[in-house]
Amino acid sequence: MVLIIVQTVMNGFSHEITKAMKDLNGDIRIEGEAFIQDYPLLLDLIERQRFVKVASPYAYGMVMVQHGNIPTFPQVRGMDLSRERDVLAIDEFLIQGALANLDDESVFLSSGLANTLGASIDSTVDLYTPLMLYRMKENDVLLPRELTVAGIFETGWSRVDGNSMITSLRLMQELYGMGDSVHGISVMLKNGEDLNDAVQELNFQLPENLHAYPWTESDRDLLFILNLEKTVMFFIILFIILVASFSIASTLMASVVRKTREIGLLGAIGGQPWQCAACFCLQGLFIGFVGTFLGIGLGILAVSYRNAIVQWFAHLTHSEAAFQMYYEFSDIPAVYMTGDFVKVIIATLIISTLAGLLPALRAARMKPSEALRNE
Amino acid sequence: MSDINVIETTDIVRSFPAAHAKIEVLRGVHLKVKRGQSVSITGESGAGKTTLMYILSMLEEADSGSVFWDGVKVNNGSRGEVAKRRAEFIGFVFQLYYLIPELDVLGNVLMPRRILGRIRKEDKERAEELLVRVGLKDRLRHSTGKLSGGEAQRVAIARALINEPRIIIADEPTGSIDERHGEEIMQILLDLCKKDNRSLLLVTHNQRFAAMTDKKLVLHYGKIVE
Repeated sequence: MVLIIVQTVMNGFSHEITKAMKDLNGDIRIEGEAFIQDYPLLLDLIERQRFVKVASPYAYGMVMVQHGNIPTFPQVRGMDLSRERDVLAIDEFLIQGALANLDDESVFLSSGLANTLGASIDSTVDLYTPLMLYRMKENDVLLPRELTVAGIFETGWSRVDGNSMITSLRLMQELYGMGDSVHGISVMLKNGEDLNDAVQELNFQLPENLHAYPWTESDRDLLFILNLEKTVMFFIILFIILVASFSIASTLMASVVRKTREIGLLGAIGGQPWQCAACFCLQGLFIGFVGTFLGIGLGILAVSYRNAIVQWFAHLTHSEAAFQMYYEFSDIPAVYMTGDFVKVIIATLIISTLAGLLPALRAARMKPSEALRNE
Repeated sequence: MSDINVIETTDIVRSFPAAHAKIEVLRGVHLKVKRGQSVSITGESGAGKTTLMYILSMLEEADSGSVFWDGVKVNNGSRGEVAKRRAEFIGFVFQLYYLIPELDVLGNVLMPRRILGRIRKEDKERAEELLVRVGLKDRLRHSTGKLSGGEAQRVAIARALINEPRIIIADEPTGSIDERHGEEIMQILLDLCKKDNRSLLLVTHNQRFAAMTDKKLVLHYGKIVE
């Protein structure tokens, strides 16, 4: 049961994180060592590829935002509104406001950022950029850019929801003094297209100073850690099953002692040692079989009611806020994978059958005459 | 009764280690049981009656001496081979019945057949017939826990006969039953063996029941005395 819950929830986290990565960055990211200058030509080249659905330029960086007396330093992403909606599922993430309201004088705030700043729709926030600080060094007067909050979004991934904002590409270019250049281009592939083949093809077509990266490479370390965590969890919990198998072994050992006379009788009426052993091995297998499927059933039940269980636990321990703060998602995600179920079934059946082996050997080695004398 | 020896032993010696010396329980036992013959072995407690019974049935090995089943020496075969042969050659009746509580009456009788392979329809018919012969016609599907001592022993007798063995070895079959029911059990055993020309080796303390057999032996100081 524990193994199923852990594996399913780990899959869920992994799936949510990778989905969020993909939704926020597109399938492929094209960047160079410097700003990309002639991006419309490049967009044209990219969109001519048969596997590309749409491409969209972006610029990103860090700014200082202030609302009232509260300053904060979010990540900002400037995007081409005419194209970006085909790359990113912005509409899906907006919890307040509308995509049509975003213009060069407004911003979308992430839910966490809006909370931190105490800002809501139509609030005005002051924005400072590194370029302003540079100009301030040259004794220019520092005037913040006043922007209206046109929307609040929430992706479900607290890494993004905590501290980020979205502006139009033009505004971001202006804030960072980029002129007509951009930092990169997001590419969305057509359904069913192979990601690695597309990356290879794009890298072949692109100028030398640009490179295409698959979404899996953006947070390669995070993906590696997710996989590693899942594998390590599997082995740790396998040890728990191993410990549980000792209890099966001791139960069967007690059964061998309790059934000594029956074992003697079995030998007397012609039972072979392997037949005595098989009785206990099969008993181990049976316990494992029942335990495994009962565990899987209870695991699926627990996973089905996971959010209710966690909410109840958080309510009981008054830790709702901590759950929201420390875990990446507001709900616990879960994804069932057949491979995990097969692994769990095979591992538990093997371990429980092996647990019956020691008592089985003892039963097989018992002399019928000694067993019958044991009255 | 024919002259063929169903079971024969020559010079069986068996001792058990004790604190300072070994205790010699059997000191050269010669025994013959003919086909269709009923033989009783009596003796004091600790005389080695049960040990001799286990050696005769190859449940235990002697220190020296030979055991023959139907004239064939058996104490040089592997444990598995001997077990298979024993299943078809010897039927056991024990003092404490040793019924399997998880199985019903019919299941207990069929147990020796199950060990030899798959249960066939004729096996079930034979088991039912045997239970009728021992007077348990209405108890086929009863749990063994609900049987009286006499009934449980009759189930054990039916179980001993299911494989149609050449000999029944009964170790104190009346030891846990009152005198009246004990006599019934003895009569059933003797009748069933006689009818099918089957041998019976009875280990008992009860002189009256021993007297009901064709040949009465006494185990005294590790030797057989007629």
